[in-house]
Amino acid sequence: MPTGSKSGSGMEGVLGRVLHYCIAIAIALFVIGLGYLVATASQAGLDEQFSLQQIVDSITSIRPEGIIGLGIIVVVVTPILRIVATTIMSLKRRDTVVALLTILSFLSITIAFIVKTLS
Amino acid sequence: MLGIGGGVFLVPILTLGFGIDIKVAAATSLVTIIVTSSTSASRYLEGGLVNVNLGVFLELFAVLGGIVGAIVVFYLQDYVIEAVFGAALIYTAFYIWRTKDAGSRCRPEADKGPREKRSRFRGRFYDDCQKEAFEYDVKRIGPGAGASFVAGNLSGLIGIGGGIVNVPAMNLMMGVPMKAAVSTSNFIIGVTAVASALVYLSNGLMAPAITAAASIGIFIGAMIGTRLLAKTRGETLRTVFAMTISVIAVLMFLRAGGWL
Repeated sequence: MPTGSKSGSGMEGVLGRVLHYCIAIAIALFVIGLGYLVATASQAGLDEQFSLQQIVDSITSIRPEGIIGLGIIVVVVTPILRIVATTIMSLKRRDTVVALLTILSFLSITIAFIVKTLS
Repeated sequence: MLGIGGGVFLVPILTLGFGIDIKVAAATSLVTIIVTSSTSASRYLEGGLVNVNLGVFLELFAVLGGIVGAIVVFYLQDYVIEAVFGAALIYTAFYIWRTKDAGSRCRPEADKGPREKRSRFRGRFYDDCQKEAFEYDVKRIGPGAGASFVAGNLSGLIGIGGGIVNVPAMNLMMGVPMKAAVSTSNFIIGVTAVASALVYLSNGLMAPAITAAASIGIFIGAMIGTRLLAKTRGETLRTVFAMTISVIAVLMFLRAGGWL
């Protein structure tokens, strides 16, 4: 079956919704976090950098940087969730070739992360 | 709208326009590339413009290219890569401008041979602008995978979205109509940016306020861009794409010369 058929319930529809909801959640968190940042006149500078640990700490203490940080995490995991959704949908359709390709992509991202962290 | 992510424009705007540190700008750019590509790809997927099988195949090579890029980045001079890449972009822009869109060569189902009908990468989409359904088969899969590897590699080497390589490769080399190429590129580039974004995030290089502000702006731009794509003819899109990559080529030459 050719890919690209207009479909709300097929693989394209599911993947589209995964991306749509993840980005919608992230943008909502960005808007809330920025609004909170402006409202509280946070001491943090505009280009102040936060480590992952600081972001986690800010999330638990419900600070504006934490809300935005949570949005950044949602954005970064969105393509990974899309890959996982593609794998599940492919396995459901018994399309082992696409499932294998997505698993290899997932492993490659993991390797890329390790290589880039070490280099 | 063009499937290139926009990072190549955002980094100079943040660094030159707002005086923001290059590493913070690069980290922000990576997050916005994911926002743009995911926003656009979600709409293109639901509109049936993305060739999922082709995207899944090409993104694997793009990620592998990114790994190699992260390793060889220490052995190559940035200005050499940027100058060579700038020249390649000028040639690509000229080639796109001189040739016709693959979509115009699409034929009805009845005219297709059995080999084409069996193809895993065959795609179909409805063009809202031309009010017509198009089908296409993907050619030269091997060279296309190589181009995607190069796209991922360049992404790792000089921090650009791989779309400016992927879109022309799909359109000119693989015979994918421009709209489907742009849509499938958006499907791919978010995945290419993930590994680098994770590294920036784990190394504490994300500036939450800048990232949030840029992402909201990029999100609004991507929403407008996806609507524009649906209303734009493939040939017009190719002209805009050729003009855009010409500007990017100039930016590359400026970066190579140390003026940017």
